[in-house]
Amino acid sequence: MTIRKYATIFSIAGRDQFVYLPSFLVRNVFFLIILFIFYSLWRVVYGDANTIAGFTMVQTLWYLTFTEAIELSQTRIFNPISQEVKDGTIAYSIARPYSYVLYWICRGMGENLVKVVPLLLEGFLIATIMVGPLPGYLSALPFGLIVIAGGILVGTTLQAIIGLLAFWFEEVMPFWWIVQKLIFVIGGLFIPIDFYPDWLARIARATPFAFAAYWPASTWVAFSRERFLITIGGQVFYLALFALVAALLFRAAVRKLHIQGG
Amino acid sequence: MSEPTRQRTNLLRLALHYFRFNLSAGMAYSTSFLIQVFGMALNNGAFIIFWLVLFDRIGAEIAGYGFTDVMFLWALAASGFGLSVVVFGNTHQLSRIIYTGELDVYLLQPRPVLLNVLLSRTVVSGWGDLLYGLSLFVITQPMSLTGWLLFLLFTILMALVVTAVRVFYHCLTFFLGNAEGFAQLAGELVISFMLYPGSIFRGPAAWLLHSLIPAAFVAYIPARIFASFDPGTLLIVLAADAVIVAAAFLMFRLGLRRYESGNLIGSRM
Repeated sequence: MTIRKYATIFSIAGRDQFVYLPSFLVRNVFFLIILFIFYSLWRVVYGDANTIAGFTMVQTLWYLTFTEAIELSQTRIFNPISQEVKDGTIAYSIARPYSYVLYWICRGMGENLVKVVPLLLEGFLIATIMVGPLPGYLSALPFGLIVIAGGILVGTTLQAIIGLLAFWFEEVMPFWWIVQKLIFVIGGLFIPIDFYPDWLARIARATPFAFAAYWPASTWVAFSRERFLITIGGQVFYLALFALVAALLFRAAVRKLHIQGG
Repeated sequence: MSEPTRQRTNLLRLALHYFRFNLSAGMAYSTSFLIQVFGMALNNGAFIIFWLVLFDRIGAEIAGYGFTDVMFLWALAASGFGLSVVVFGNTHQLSRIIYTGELDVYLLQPRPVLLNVLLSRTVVSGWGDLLYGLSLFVITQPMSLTGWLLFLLFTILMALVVTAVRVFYHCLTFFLGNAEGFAQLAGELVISFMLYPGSIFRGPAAWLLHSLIPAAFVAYIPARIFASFDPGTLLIVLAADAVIVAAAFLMFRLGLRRYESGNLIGSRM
């Protein structure tokens, strides 16, 4: 019963998203342009080299289509959460018979998973045109989709935590900037972590940010059973940790909540 | 005082008034102001790591650009964009102001309409961009009086051109209904392209960067002038930037002829 409730929230959000899909597709021009910029940059960087840090040019570009798809598909759920905290609407929302945090995560995921499909398709087309097909793309496809959904879920849960910070801070956007940039840099969104010096790569690989970008994308471009299991294991671990953090934050936040009038 | 001089003085006074008012309004919530400013500076700083790693890994220049050259592009982009949104902070709302009919409120005031609209709001996080851009310039570039003067000139030009490009595309709303998404995209593209070495783009992309997305005139060519000063090239940049700004004004004027009041009752406090 409980699971059905959240599955309904997830599917309603997904269906809603279909209505806005045309405008989302127009905005995807940015995704295509960014991929073109990356292609122009990496073409010069690779020059005559076949591989850099174990990645071929083809793998690097495909890697970037996956990490960008994960990033651009994510609805900023910390915005409505922080807005509800600021305008007091949260007083009504928390009285409803569901977990407030889970509601937003399910709603966010419903939208995100609808948005990631066209991004992956566009990425497939543009990467194939620019650098050719990715070897092993189809055989890794089911595993790739699972870990990409996992990466989006890690990012979405982080966003829910950021939204809850509105109970303590007037403006939560800067927290998002910081987390987003940690995903960009430490998480390997712009560049595979393997390019980093060894000491930094070892640290970066273990962070939650890497499980939101590097691990899912690298699992697809250089698939192995071992890599897939590490990715899934890390995502489950960090999701459990973030769920605990979100629950504790929410409990502390509700204690702080003063409801005045009606 | 002659009439044009008086008009210019009035305009400058209006700009300074808006600047002071917007700054004090932003600083009214001082914690939020500081978090936004330093958050944005930190946000931008993350990208340095990307370039450090990339240059370290390949151990050579990228299409003629070294690490310092790329950092010049970043410093210029951040400070120019920051200045643009701090001073002309209402630019991103222009489409909405047009299609909701809110422009009526500005049309009734005895000030140049476009500038009045653009100046009337600020974006607080723009101070973070500005702070970051200036800091990055100080940290990564060789210091000299000429260098500073050129950097400040290019920052102002960049702020004017980025604003003009966004205004130009927002004005399509006068003709097409709602060009908000398109204008937002155009602004993002100018910034996105100018953060990468210009020489990596070839063929039609290079042409595009000299025309519809004029990143070349606000970033790549200024970077070249900064590295090796050439007055002739500087004049070309000044002329090209003047054309872009004039095109935005012209587009707004043409659009205004097609504007129909929305009968929206509004006021500005």
